[in-house]
Amino acid sequence: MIILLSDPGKAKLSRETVRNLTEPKTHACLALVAILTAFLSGCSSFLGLPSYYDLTTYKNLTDLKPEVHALYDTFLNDTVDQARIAAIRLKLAQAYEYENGKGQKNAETTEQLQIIQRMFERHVDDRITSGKWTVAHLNNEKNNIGEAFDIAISTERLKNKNE
Amino acid sequence: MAADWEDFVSNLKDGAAGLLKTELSGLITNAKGDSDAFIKRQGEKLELYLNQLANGQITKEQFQGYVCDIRDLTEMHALKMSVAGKASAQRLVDGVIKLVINGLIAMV
Repeated sequence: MIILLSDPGKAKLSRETVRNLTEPKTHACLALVAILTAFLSGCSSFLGLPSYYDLTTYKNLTDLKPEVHALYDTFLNDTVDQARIAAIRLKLAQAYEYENGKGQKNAETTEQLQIIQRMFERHVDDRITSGKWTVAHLNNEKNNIGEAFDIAISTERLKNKNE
Repeated sequence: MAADWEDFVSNLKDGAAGLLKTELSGLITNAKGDSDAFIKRQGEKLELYLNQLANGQITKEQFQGYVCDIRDLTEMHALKMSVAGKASAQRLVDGVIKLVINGLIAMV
């Protein structure tokens, strides 16, 4: 404002602006904007709007899906590779912790990761307790765990980019 | 012609088999006719699993596991729908802040 007033040409404009700002209509408009800003800011937290799209989440999920599929392929003929199972279990746990760390705004994706962990454990337990899988069983299990990852991946893609 | 699973259920000794068959048939038909692609797919899968069970391609325990999978996938789908709704609301809020409020302030 001070800089503008030092220029006589702009000073005229500035005085006009000041006059406009003192008008009751402008006061009402500014008050409305302030209320709207406060309201919408409140909405963001009250409505529990989701976290923004996260490339790391997307990469974690798209990396894990083929790894789990490759492990399941071994359930057809190979002996149970406990080290490989443990490695994937660890990656799933790390992915879960990453999502959980984002807090309440990311509750849906965190819960989806928990469900994927639960499905994975059920499938692995089935292999360990019931023996080698048949082709039909392998296809069904790969299809279901793959669909679980696809749902989580597409959920992440639904989120808005933080621009 | 009856599907493999329908014959399988009909041949069960339990007296409630008829009712079970009718209810299962209704459930699968409704799911397969659903406009939601996810629900439709689950209906098709359930029918496939029942036929595989009837043909002895999978065990009863495996079938139970698939039903648990469908339950889990449905839970995940519901969470996805929740995010879709919230993301739409977020776009609205962000749009109002960016276009209306920031635009309005700039014009005042």
